[in-house]
Amino acid sequence: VTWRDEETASIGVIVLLGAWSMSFLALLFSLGIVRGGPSGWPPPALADIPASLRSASVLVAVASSAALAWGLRARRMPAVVIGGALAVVFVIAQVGLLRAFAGAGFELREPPDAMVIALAGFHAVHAVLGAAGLAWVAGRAWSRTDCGYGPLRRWAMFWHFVSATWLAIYLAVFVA
Amino acid sequence: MASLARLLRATDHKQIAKRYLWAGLIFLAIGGVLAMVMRWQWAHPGEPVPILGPLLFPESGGAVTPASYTSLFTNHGLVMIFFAITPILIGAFGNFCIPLMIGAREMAFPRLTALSFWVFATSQALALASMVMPHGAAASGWTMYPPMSATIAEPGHGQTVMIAAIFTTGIATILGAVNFVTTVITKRAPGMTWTRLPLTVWGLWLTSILSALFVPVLGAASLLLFLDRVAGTSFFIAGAAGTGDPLLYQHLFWIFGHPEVYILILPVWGILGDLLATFARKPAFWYRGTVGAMCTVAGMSGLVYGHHMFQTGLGPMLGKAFEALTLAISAPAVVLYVNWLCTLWRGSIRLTVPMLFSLGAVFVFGAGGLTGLYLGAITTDIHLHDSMWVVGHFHLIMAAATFLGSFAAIYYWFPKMFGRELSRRLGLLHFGGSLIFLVLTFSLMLVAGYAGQPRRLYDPFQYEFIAHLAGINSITTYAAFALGAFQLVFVVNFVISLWRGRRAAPNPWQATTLEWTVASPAPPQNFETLPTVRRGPYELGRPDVRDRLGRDYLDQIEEEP
Repeated sequence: VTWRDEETASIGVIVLLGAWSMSFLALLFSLGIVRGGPSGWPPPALADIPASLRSASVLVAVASSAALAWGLRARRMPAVVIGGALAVVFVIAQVGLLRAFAGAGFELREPPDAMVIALAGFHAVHAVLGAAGLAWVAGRAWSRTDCGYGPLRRWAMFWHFVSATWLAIYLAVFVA
Repeated sequence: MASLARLLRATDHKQIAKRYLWAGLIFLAIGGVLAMVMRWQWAHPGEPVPILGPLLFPESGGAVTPASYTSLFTNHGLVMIFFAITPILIGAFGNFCIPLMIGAREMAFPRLTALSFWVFATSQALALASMVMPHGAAASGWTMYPPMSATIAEPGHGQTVMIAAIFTTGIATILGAVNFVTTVITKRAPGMTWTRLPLTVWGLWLTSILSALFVPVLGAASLLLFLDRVAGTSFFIAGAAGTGDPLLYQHLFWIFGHPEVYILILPVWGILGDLLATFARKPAFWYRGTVGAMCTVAGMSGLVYGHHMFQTGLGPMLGKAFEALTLAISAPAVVLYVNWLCTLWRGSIRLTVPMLFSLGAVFVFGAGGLTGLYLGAITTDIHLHDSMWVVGHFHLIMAAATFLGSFAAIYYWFPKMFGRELSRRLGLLHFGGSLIFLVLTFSLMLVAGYAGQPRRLYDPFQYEFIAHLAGINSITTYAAFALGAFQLVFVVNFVISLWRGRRAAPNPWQATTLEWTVASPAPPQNFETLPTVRRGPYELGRPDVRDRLGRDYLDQIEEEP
């Protein structure tokens, strides 16, 4: 694997994430339209979601991205592992959040309720994929097989994307 | 089993390109047959369709019913746009041309090339399956607007499966686009600077960027529509059935849908730029201006979508803004057009079959572009909206121009793809028939639309005010049949030439770009050694080179004589 292959792979990931971010932007645009619809905003059930759970998920996402970024820049494997572990914690927090949504009485027939669940669910799929990818490449790097920092760096890019999109969703749903 | 495994594992961009070509041509035929059955209904409303009628509509004695008519035009549009034109222009020629024209041995991500094709093939299978689903095929128009596409209006499983097919083909398009964008950025041969890229590569690269940016928006719209149909949500359902907003879908669809026009036409623009120069034996006129114009159109393509929604109650300011932007985007298109004409001006024009198809594409693109201005201006759009004028206009651009551009490309690169030459005589016959009947078919649609005929009517002539247009519609129908019949000439030419065509020389067109510096068909690794590019792609018609070498061109890698 040459530096040029690494560069090609990184550019490919950047293009892919740039493209995929458009699907989240489209959903956030839809949320904006739905918020102005006849059902009103916010959905009543949103108040039942514990503030600690909402905030914790954002903090964990940002912390995991920061740990990964620093660990990869400084080539400190323990920091990378901490970042990966925080990614797993984020996935667990997301599962908790989705369970809270399920228990809070969101109505799928109401577009604001359904949009919140669609955004959270669509994002959760990416979070699970990102955490699994990180665990896989971190395991390979740890066991010093054929995997260097390149694949880790690219999965970390994917994880930054997961964190950034969650931050955007958090701001659009819970703050704005 | 071994051959199946080899088939699935193949990652060579040229092989994948050929698969896209086959897949696209088969669906082009399917879409064409659907169009002709639909046209039959307008020439002979309620009468049994000859030959195919008893097979397709046995319950009605072979006649098209209102329900099957809506399925016909829906599937015709979806098949042609997503499963025929896209795979031919972008899948086949993107995969085939980009590595060869930039001097690369393979795509940036060869396995992604294969994956995108297999995902695309899955989407085609889903589209076919949707046509035979219980309770009917998709029948909400190619735009799939709710509430027509909601379960309340369209309960058939075919609609649901077609939405899944569109989502799946979107994934394939995004994967392919990521590969193309990255390949052009990272895999160019030494010396292949951005200003030495052939216009075909520019067109395909910009198309890929637009695909990467806007196809995900269609994905999001499809996802929400799918949830509306299967999960009980009502994002797009208003009234008694829900509190959603059908206009939200229209916004999402057209944010994708207008750039989609450029996604399909940009490769044609690039191909025309290359072919006109090659066969006029002149450098492409103002290359940088053409590239700039293509980049400007690509950049503006996401800003004009609102002109599809003038009639939806957009605020006057917003409508005016979209009108101004829509009319403004025609300026770079005019630059392109003038550059093509200037390339032809005083050229030593060789009327080869690909050149004739290119000239035809230039002509119909001009006609299609001019007729679009009336839809970009609010005052005229009010009268022409939802009429056959719209159908004629977008068929001139998205059907005629892309069709002729696709065939220009097929005739041009066939020797490099298959190592054989297509018959010139059959090619001329195919071109002549196609151009005459394409223009006739789609121009008469404009006439019918201008006279007030609304689109998508099962039996337009039951309305007194357009009953007198039955004659024009009849002529249009028979022109469409003739157009279909002339495609059989191509099928014969293609099949015979694959096995019996004359062996192609490495550079039968005396072209200058890199793919013509290797054998025909292109070898597995493309280039024995990576080429070093010395000049731009249009060193054509040089008298000094003719004096020294006895030919009028220099390819991109040979040394100055």
